[in-house]
Amino acid sequence: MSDKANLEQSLSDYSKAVEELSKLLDFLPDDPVVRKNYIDTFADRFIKL
Amino acid sequence: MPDQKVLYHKKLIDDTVRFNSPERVPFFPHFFLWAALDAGYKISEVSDDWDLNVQVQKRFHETYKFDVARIQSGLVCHPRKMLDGIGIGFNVFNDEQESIELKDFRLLFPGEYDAFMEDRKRFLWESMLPRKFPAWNDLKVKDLVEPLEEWKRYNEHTAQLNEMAINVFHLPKFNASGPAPNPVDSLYLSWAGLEGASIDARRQPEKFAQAIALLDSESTDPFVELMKSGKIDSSLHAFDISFGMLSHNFMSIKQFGKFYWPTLKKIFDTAFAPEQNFIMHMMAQGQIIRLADFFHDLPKGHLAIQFEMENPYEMRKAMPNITAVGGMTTHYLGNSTVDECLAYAQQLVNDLGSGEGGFILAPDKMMSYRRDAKGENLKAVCDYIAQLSVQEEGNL
Repeated sequence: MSDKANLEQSLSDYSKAVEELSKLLDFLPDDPVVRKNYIDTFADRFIKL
Repeated sequence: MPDQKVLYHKKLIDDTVRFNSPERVPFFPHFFLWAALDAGYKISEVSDDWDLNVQVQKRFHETYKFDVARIQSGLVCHPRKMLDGIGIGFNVFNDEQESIELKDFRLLFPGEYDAFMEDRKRFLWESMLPRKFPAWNDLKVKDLVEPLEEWKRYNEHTAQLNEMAINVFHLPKFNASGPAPNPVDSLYLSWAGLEGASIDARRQPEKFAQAIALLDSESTDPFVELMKSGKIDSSLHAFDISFGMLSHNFMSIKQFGKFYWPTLKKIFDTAFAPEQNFIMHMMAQGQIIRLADFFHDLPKGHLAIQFEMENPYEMRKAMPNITAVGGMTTHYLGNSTVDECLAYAQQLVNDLGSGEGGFILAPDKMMSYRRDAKGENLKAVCDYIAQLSVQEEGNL
């Protein structure tokens, strides 16, 4: 995963957290929508576990 | 070149659901935790060891012959390592009782529906996740690096299992689309909780319906467009699409019509239109016959409903336009002798499984507990069904 993200960014703010987390997803296309959807799906799974 | 064995089993399912005189009745698997217990493992051993889960699935399909590889890794093997360092989930793994218990909960409260609808994803992240995981707001991006890696590994594991269906088991995969969205069940099972959603549906039905409509626009509508796009490739799948439903059990018939049916109708209208001509599997946990009137006008030969707490003869009578999936009870699979179990299977096949189609034999519940089936009973039924084949597999 990318080292470009600010790893110290708090998760408390959705927009800022998603922006930084998206930078970790090097295995996905460089498309903000695709990466945001991936994070949202991940969060949905977190709720269900 | 397509695997002829895969195509043989696919055709059996297709002919049955379309009432096109299948060669024999198909046998559809519905085994989850039972497969791990039958292989001699504790639930906690298999639940987050994916290599072991591959072995369990392989052993299951090599021992018991079915017509579909219904591999759903999430119901046997949970990516619960994602939660390491984050908090505790709702699934309680109990090796002593050999069960996974799901706690009821409420993360969305009655006065929050407007905020929820205004920005659902933000609400989930900033309100619901901190409720579930008290440390959430103190966590940083670095704390999700490993959970994200685990999620990726889990998805790769699921894909690996699905490819095993074709390459190792020589069976069609379950369905091509993945489960269709179900916004009502999401409200019940993920956000408001069983009790909470039941209360909200009664005390603020319009707000509840608005939330479902919004969720439909976010998830069901794109799914409908996907169906229309021609991108669902079911050439190696038993069904084109699938849908799972549980929360209809907590609704009156009137509530079902108001909250649930609009989502289903959107899916049916597109899936069963001549342009798509799909066949669809619908898992209806609990009871469904009381809602039969909703399904009467669906075109014959497209929908297969897997039922649980219903009599198979009454299912066929109540929904003659729909294939009934089930009938093989845990009473016979788990508590009878091999001969008694076989006699019951033969009776069902003779009464419901011959002729134009409309019946797929399957266990009548999600097979999760050890006593749900004896291995020798299940194997006897599998072997009996397989020997009904007239055509030799792979030689169509």
